[in-house]
Amino acid sequence: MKGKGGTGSGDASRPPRLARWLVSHLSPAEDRAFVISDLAEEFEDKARAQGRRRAAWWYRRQVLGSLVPWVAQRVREAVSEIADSLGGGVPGLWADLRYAVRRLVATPVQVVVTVLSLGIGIGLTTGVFAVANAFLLESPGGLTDTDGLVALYTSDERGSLYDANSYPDLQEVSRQADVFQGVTAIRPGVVRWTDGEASRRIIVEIVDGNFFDVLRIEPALGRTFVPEETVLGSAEPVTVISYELWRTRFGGAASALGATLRLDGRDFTVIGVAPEGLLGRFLRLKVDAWLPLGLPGGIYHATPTELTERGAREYLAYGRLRKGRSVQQANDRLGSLARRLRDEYSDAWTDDHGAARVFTVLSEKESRVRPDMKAALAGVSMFLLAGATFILLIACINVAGLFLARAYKRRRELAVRLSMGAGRGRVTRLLLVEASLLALMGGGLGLGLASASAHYLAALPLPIDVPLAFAVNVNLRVLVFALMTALGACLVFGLLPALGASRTDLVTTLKGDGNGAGRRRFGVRGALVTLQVAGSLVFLVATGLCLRSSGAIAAFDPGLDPDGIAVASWRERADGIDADAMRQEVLGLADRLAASPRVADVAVAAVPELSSWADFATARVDVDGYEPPADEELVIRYNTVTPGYFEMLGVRPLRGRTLSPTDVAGALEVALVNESFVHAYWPGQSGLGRGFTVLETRSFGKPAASVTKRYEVVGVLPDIGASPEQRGAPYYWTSFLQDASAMVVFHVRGRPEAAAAVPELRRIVQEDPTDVPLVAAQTYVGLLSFDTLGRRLALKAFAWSGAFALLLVIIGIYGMISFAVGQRMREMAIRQAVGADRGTVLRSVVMDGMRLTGIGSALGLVVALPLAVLARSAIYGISPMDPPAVLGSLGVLTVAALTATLLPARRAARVDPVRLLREE
Amino acid sequence: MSDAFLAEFELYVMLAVARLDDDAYGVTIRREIEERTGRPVSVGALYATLARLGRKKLMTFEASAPRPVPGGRHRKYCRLTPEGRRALAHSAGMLARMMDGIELAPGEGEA
Repeated sequence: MKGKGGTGSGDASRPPRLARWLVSHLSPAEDRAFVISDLAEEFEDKARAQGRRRAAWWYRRQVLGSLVPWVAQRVREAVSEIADSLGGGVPGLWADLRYAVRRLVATPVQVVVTVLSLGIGIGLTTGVFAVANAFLLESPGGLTDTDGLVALYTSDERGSLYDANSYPDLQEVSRQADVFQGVTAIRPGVVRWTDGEASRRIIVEIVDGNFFDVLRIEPALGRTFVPEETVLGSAEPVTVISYELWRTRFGGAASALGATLRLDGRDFTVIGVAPEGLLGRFLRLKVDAWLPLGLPGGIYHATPTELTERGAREYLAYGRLRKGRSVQQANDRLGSLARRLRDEYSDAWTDDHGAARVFTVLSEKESRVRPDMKAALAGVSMFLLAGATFILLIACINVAGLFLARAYKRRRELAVRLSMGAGRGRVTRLLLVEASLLALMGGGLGLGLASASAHYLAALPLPIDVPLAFAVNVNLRVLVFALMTALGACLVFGLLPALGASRTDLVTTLKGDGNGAGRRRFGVRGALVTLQVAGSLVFLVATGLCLRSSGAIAAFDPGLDPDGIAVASWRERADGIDADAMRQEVLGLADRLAASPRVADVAVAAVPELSSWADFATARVDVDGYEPPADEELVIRYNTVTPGYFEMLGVRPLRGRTLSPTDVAGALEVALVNESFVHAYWPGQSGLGRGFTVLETRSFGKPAASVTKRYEVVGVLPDIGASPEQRGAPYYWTSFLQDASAMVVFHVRGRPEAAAAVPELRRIVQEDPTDVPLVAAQTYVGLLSFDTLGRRLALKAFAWSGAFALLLVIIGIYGMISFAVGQRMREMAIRQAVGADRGTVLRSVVMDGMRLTGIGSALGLVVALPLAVLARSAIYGISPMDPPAVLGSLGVLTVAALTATLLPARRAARVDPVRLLREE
Repeated sequence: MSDAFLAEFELYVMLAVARLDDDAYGVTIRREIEERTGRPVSVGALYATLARLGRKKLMTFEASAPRPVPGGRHRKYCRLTPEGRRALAHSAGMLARMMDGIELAPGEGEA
């Protein structure tokens, strides 16, 4: 191997290697020889006088101390070169532009590769930026006049400051007329819109009559509410619709005014169209219609009762301050109001910790992201942006590689130009123009990709019956971000290295062969590609782990077969209805369902056990003969089901029996437990005939009922659960005929398949259009897919990132090897001429590529594996160092690298030595 | 040009070059300043300053022929231009005038 020199004993008299390398790469070119010579001279003196170690230490200190001036000088030079280059006037620039275009057209593959690399990197970063931008940076959501506009909050029961307000409290706030010009309440809601045959849910905001006045929103068409049609209790059914609904449903025609919109079974007259881009005040959701508060009987949950309840904190609120009033003054005023309200309504104004609740006023700008959420949201955004930037960097390495290659190829041309008297500025400008053109194309492509992905994300159908649509727009700020990123990437990764390469010694370039033969084979570019390999391996391992996790999830047997089953929750039980009446109503609905030809079988349960809802029904229990460790509560999950539930789902008891229609109120209170329950509390026993006492049932983590009820175990079932942890945890079932439950979920077996029963569930169980069910009618499998949605999206994101990174690596390796092969054509020809066979040449090129891949992979694993261990909680059912995932990623990467190497290597082996040497 | 201020480090470098006369190049200049001020001087900072003084036309440079040893050393010999000498005298004079009559507290400096 050549080019290695200077190892072993030879080092004893030479300065430290890394420091020497830094000197020869970072010190300014014009003084480099002197600097190296000076340092060497002193090093030798010191080594003689004080020994090599002291001398080496001194040398390193010198280099370390010189880094700042060197780098500063480099940057200064580059800046002044670029500045000089811009002095050539417009006519010259035009010529350069034409020349640059010609040159780019002459190398279409390189251009396409650069633009693609840049486009992918920029598309990802810009997409993430667009989302972060929409949520964090701006988005007043269509408000234009925010001067003096404030948001109002009441603290919640846990003491968190920024919760919604109750309507009567807001009425008191609006009486503080010397501080507020106006205060308006907003109730976000979901209503069913019936349009001819079709019917779907839309998001609405039910607002005070002064909503549009306080927020100073001018309609795009028609008018907004007038006082006489929004009188509380006798408001008229009128609506202002969104610009989007106007365009899509009414074709943007003026005749939309006066048309009717049937919402929750009531006709609303369209009186106006909101301006384009006006978003909901709640989470920037896309709202389709604004309705007045105080309709007779109310709409959605905004009922006359809710409007008078101090405890019903459901109302967002905005206020407009009087001129000259500050947010601080508003806060002070509401501080004293809150104290008065606390005295008058102490229940509603005391939180769970016994502290008084408070009002908080924030300027509209401050309120765009809730202050207590800001850190978390910013963290998530930064994390995503970091990932995307990582891909961008991988892409930029390709850009750098390509510019370097171009610069090398052009060294001779540049040297000729320089020697003929072209100023360095002229030459720099040419490179600058080229880089900018590429940046423009890459940035444009990236922007296109970002906007496409933003639309894709916005239109992503969520498996719920509520039309959540977030507004993510590619606006001017995003555009500027994309173009600046592209230009920055091209300048930093393209122009600077190219400038360095062009600053070569004229004489040697012109005299010697301009191919740079004899130089180290890959140099900086090799190092960059190594990093690229490492980076892409991180993404590939992440993808592999996600895939294997998904595989493990799919392969897991939950112990209960959800196929063919459809589910739907019944409305939440209103307080005060007695258990018997509710049970009768539910069983009546079950009978109606059973009568349908599309339903083969019906059962009722408190929760769909395999879904994440199962976590919301728990109970504190006392198990006979089991002493839990000191100060530990025994809290386990349970379900309350009708007889026939287990039979319908194909679950057979291991011992004893399942539930029977005779397990009714008044009879012996029976329960079934799972195998793990018996193992945990009565090891070695059958469990039959033993008992446990429920001390308190909890729903959604909050105490639901404090009852003391003893159950006798009549059957033991196999473990059931969506994950190994769930399956292995103690669980019990009680009879719906004996117990009531807070949540009721109908389970039916559809005929011929699950989907057939869904409309029936909707018609019979969820007929009330004002109710938003916890579990919308759907197939059981569909419901479960919602639980894995996050995991599947993450898998998709990683898989796409991994694919992009892999593609970029292939481009990078291919480009680098082709370039290196081109440089070594002559060497290869000579080697072949003196008898090396093609195989040897081929092998040597492939080995070069594989060595870089090997080093890069090792580096990548060093990064990826600790990250995987950190992300252990997100990995399911496999070890974070899962061999198939890790080895698989390595395999994919190696095959890709090999392919990218083989193509140019074959070209090298096919060189005709005679012809090549003669041409030279 | 002579009414331009010299920065502190520039002044040291020029004083060192003036003192070293014909033997002023990177190594000797660095050592001269280090020995007299007791402060470490990095080679990077020194060459950056030399380049700046060259641009201000206060100094000229001459590269020595490589010496006949392995690695054949170059030295960048520095010499003050007449303008450089004027600037140096000017700066030193200004400093002296500014110092005139000031009693600095003894100690601290030299130990």
